[in-house]
Formats: sequence, structure tokens, C-alpha cells
Amino acid sequence: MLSEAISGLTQVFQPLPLALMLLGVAIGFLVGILPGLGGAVTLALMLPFTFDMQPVEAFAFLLGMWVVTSTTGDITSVLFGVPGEATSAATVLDGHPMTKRGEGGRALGAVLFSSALGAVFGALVLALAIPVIRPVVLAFAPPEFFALTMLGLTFVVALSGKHLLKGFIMAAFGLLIALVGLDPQEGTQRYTFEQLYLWDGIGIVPLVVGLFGGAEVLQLMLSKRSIASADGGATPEASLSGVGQGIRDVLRHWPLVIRSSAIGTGVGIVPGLGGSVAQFMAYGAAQQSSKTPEMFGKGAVEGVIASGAVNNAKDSGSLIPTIGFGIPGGAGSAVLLSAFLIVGLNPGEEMLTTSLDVTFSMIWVTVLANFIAVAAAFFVLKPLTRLTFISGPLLVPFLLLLLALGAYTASNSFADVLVMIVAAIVGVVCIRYDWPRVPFLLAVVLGSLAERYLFLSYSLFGWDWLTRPIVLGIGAVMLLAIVGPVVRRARARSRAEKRPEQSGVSA
Amino acid sequence: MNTALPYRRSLRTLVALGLGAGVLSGCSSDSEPAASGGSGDCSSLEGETITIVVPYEPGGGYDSYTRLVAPYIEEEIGATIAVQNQPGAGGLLALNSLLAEDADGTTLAIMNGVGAGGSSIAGAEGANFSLDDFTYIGRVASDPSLLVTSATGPYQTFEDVVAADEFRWGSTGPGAEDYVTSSLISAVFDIPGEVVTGFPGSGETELAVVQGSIDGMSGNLTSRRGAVEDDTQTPVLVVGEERPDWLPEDVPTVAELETTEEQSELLDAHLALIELGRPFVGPPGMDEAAMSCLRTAMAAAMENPELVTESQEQERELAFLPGDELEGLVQDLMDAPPAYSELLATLY
Repeated sequence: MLSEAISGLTQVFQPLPLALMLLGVAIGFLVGILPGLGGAVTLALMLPFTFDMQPVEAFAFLLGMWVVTSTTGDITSVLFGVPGEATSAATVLDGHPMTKRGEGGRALGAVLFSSALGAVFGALVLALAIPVIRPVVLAFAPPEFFALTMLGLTFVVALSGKHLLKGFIMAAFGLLIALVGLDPQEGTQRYTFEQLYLWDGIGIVPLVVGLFGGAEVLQLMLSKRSIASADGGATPEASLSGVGQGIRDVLRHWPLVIRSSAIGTGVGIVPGLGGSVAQFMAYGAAQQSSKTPEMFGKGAVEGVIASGAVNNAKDSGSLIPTIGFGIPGGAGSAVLLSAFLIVGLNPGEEMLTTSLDVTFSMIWVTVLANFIAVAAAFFVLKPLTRLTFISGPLLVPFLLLLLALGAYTASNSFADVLVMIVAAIVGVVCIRYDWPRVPFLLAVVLGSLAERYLFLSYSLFGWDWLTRPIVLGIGAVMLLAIVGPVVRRARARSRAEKRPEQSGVSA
Repeated sequence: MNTALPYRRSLRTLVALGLGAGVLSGCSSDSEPAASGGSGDCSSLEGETITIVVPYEPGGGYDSYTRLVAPYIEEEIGATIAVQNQPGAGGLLALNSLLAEDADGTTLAIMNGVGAGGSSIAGAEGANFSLDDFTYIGRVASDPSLLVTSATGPYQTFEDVVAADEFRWGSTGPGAEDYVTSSLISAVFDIPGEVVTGFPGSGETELAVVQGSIDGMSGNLTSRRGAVEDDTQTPVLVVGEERPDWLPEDVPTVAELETTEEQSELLDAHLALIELGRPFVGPPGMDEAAMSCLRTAMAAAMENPELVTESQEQERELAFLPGDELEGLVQDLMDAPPAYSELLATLY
């Protein structure tokens, strides 16, 4: 296996694959920064260019492009509060408040460096998984998927902060939105109001872009100031000097990086769940384990670190079923699957034996491309950070254009722009009256998945699915996730009662 | 399997990439203006932009086929072709809106014969068109299905499947190709069992077949090749006219099965629907000159040796059928026995 690993690396380091990878990184870099146009769509558009390529060349190009989109998507999230990718929404929650505080440099340093580390972690898991890849993939069936969606929903508790009731109400609202569309079992129409657009339900991309990006831009419009407010004495130079600080933050929180990467890889393996869920699971877990959970949503660097690492780790995770069985773990890897056929490779046994070197070259590309992108990003941080000091009225038209394009490119439909605008209004109302947006979004994404996998589990296994070992294991984790904070809070309260002079901190 | 390509060709790709990268759109930026437009009169379309709508997300089979063929038609006509993805309602959204487009040849779409055509025959909700509404330009590919079973399961031939006490199919849901074909075969051959619906995509259905939690599924023939050669799925029946050479000889096609007259009537009608495959279609009553230009140009493009090699390299088999022959197929489908449309009506 070691010789294939080395052979994979030397194949990537040939002039042509390397050049193609750089080109891919450059395209992915731009696509990631622009909202809406996602990694999967760009992969599909670039697919025809790989027709003449050798396997390693094609994957250097495509993978190089794809893995970079989730890294640079975070930049837009941090600076403008507009998610560059649907998978970068969690980065907005804490990254953008940091920018507003004049700590944009620190947030970017943290998110980029943890992205790079997350990519390394994911690649390592992918490499280590090779001998057991097929049994691992076979162990996951709809019951396990259902258990994972429920685990995601339990994070609603953590993500609602101190407004537990508001969080549950928002989640319930989200579940209702998730009902819109054709039901997954029978194809019955629900709340479609004779509109074919609604058959597929409310689109996640326009929803995310509006709920987070649209809301921030509307606020910026109303405030008539620049994003990074000057009242704290923030200047572009001061903000940039925080980059090193951000990197140190990541190193200081290394267990968080590993945990978030593990969540990303794990969720990536599961077909269907995808990055829009993984980010909030990692974010919720970070908040639960944080010593200062009340800072989350107000600019906690831990939230930024978690959402950076998880995104890049999940890409490698979703390659695992693709390579092992030709079953894609997400939209991006589904397109990559066509690339396998184009270059004449058969996913499955072959990728783990005769073409193992190609598999390894793919692993190397995910790591290399991310490092190149992160290094390049550090060079353009300066001009980008300066943008946040431009006055609001000048910046807003440009951001509005990005929002509209971002929503429209989701399915080339104006209805998507409408959804984005409505979501933006909902987002502003949520911010204004302090209702949490994340439980809502999480419930929309997970609601339809949970329904689908619950019914599938029952049709496939009757009630026996409840006794499957992985389901029981995830159930236990869920129990811990719910009971843990309650116990901790109770303990903190009893301690506070014993020593009343120290109260106030743990409330 | 790909043999080593010359280094030079890859280099050419690199250059093409550099040119096309900035555009991020499907239309190629380096196509040469065509010297001649073939025998069809293309004066009305020359220099125009023709949009081909793909009713699905980028990256899938319909998208790949369209993007594969488009540049060659572009070359024949001397027009620019833009490929546009308009997913929604299982492909019906784009076809419904095609009805209202200008019939001057500047807007076309690729159609899913079994999905959209079947919906229309079944009178399903959402399909606001009849199959004979559209102007048929030509078929890009035929779309036969393959029934597969779990390689570790008890059913290893189609006879086993027919003899099963309870056979469980997996499917994404009513109206989808996998649902229609497996239910239809079950109904025609009286196979007891059920179709487990709700899988989010054919990938997850396949996973369930490999895991053995369902007994089998129907799916796109060429997409099953990898799994069949990997021995994780057993092929049992080709629902199409021809058996490809990578399948073992003992896997029958539908026509090779022994059937009663009643059965074969239903199967023939369904084979005609499958034969419709993946055609390029235009709005109703297309302008004569534009139609003959598009038909001639497509016929010429589909014979282009470069396209043929490229499609083979990608394992995307082409199966051209001219527009007038497609019209004949559609007529056959309109004349199909009422039993067929009644059966379909229960499946959408």
C-alpha cells in the first residue's frame, strides 16, 4: 500500500497534472467566493474538459477545484455574511460578527487554517479506510441514516442557545417547511398550490443565501455604515494583524479541530446527508463542549474553527462510498462518478486494488489543493478585508447582485430568487427579535431526510431496525447530547448555590 | 477501458481549458464557424443562439449527453448552442414550459421518454402535454433498463424472480423509471411482492440491493455495467431491444421471454416507450425550415467520427434515430392498447 501511496504522489507531481490542479484550484477559488454557484454545479460544467485526460490528470483538475470551493466559500461568509457556498452558512454565524468587531483577519486566519487541517484529517481517514472501505459502507443503511438525522436534530437544543423554547418553535416551523413538495414515498403533493416549482420542496441554496446573506445585507443597507464598524477603532491594518492570532487560536483548540473533522468525515460518508447538515452538527457540538457557549453567534472563534474544519473533511468522507462502490456520498461526488467513467475507471474493487495508485493520487490532491488555496488566500486577504471598510451604500448594490445570482443559479428559476427574498425578510425579523435561525434551517434540511429514512427503515426492516447496533450507538450519543448539558447546568447551579459569590458566569 | 492517449492531446485540452475556464458556461468558446450547413436550409438559425434545455441538474446522464452532442451540432449549423439546466418536477417543468416557447428552432429540450412520455400517456398530474405535441428532432440515445438482483440473494435468474413468493423491488418513487419498469414487469408476469419506495436516488437503491435489504431493482442499462462486472449485482433481464456484449449470453431480453399474446401486447407498448429514449424535442408546430435544418444537422453530427469516438471513450453509447421515425414511434404509442395506458395510470 505504501508504494501505491508514493506512486500516487509522484503521479500528481508530473508537470501536466500539477498544472491542471493549479488551474482547478484557481477556478474553485473563484467559484467558492461567489455565492450560489456551487462546487457540484461547477464540476458538472467542467466535466466535458476532462474527456481527453488521463485519470490522474482529470482528478487533479476536478478534485482540485471541488475541494477548494468549500475553503474559499468561508471567506465570503466571514467578510460579508453571505455564505459563499450552501455549506458555509455556519461560518457566517460567528465569522461575520468577528468581522463587524474589526477582527475579520483573525476569523479568516482561523477558518482558513482549520480548513487546511480538516482536509488533512479527512484525507488521512480516507487513506486509512481503504482496507475496510467496503464493509464500512455496507454497514450503513436507511436506519443508520435516520439515526444520524435525528442526532443532527438534537443539536437544535444546543443551537438555540438560552432560548430553548424559541429554538423548538423555530425547528417546528422548519419541519413544516420541509413538508412542502411531493412526499418521498407515494409522490403525493403537499402544499404545492398547483405550482410545479414546489414539487421539489423549498430549495436549500436560496433559503441559506437569503436567511443568512440576505438578512445581513438588508441590515447593512439600513445601518448605512461599513461592515466593520469604526467605533472600536478598527482599521484594515489592525484587522489584518489578527491573522496570526487566528492561526494560534486553531492550534490552541486542536481537539475541536479533530472532533469537527471527524463529524465532517462521518457525515460525508453517509449518502444524502451532505455538507449543509454536517456544518451545523459540528457547530452544535462545538457549542456544547465550549466553556463559553453564550459567546456563540456573537463572534466565538471556536464556532469559526469548527465550521472551517468540518467542510473540508466532509469532501474526503463523501469520496469513500464513491470509490468503494460507485455510490456517491453527495451531489459533488455524484458528478465525480461520471468522471470515473469518462477516464475509464470502474469504482469498486478495482479502485482498491489495480488502480489503488489513482485512489492515492486523489487523496494527495485533496490535501495539496487545499494547502495551495489556503496559501493563496492569505495573499488576497488584504484587499478582501479592505472591502469590509467600504461604506455600506457603496457595497450593497454589489452584494445584492451576488445574492440574486446566488439564488438564481440554484435551478435557473426566478422562483428561487423569490424564496431568497422571503428568506431574507424572515432572517431580518429573526435577528431583530432574537429568534434563532439555525434550528429552523436544520429542521428544513433534516425534516425531509428524517421522514424519508424513517419510512424506508420501516418498509425495509419492520421494527427490527431499532435494534441495529449502530442505531443503538447513535441513540446513546443522542441521549448524552441531551442529558449532558442538563446535568452540567444542574451541577453548575448547585455549585452556584453553595458559593453564591461566584455565580453569574455559568448561567 | 482507456488506453494511453498521446500527450499532445492532453496538452490541447489544457489550452482549451484555459480558453473556456473564464466563461463557466456550457457553450464552447472556440468553435469554428461552419463552412456549410449541410442540405437543410439553416439560414434562419445561422449565427443565432440555440438553447437546449436539460430538465435535470448538471452532471447527470441527460446533461452529459447533451453537452457531449451539442458542440457537433453547433458545428453543423454555424449557430451557438447554450446548454441550460432547468430541473424541476421530475423533468416535467421544463417540458411544460417548452410548449410555450417560440417554434423557430432556437429552443429545444432533451426529453426523458419513460419519465415524461409515460406521465403523459398515464394522464398523470403535472404533464400538461401530449407526446404528439412536440416536434421531434432526433434521438440522442436509447434508454433500455436492466433488472438486477442482489448477488448474495436467492434470486439469480429471471425465472427465480417470477417464481418468488415475495419479491421486493427498490425504487425512488411512483413515476420514476425504476418504479414504472419494475411494477410493470411485476404486473405483466404476476410476480407477487412490493416496491419499496422512498430511496433518494438510484445510488442508495443500489446500496440496498448490494446489502441485500431489497431483492432487486430496475435501472439504466449502461449505468449498471460497473456493478455487474464488479459482481455485486446480478443482471437478470434486459428491458430493451438488444443485449449489450458485456452482459452474459444467458441474460434474456424481454423479447426472448415466452409470453402470452396479452403479455406481449403490454410489453411491446412499453418497449416502444423505452425506444423513445432520450430525444431532442422542440415546441409544437416548429417552423418547417428550422425543423429540417435541425434534423439534417443532427443526423450529420451524430455520424461525426470524432463524436462517435468520444462517446465510446465516455461509455455513453449513442443511438440516433431520425425525427420522422420518432414520430412513427409516438404514433404507435398513441395507438397502444388501452390496457397499457390503464396500467400506466396506476404507476404515476
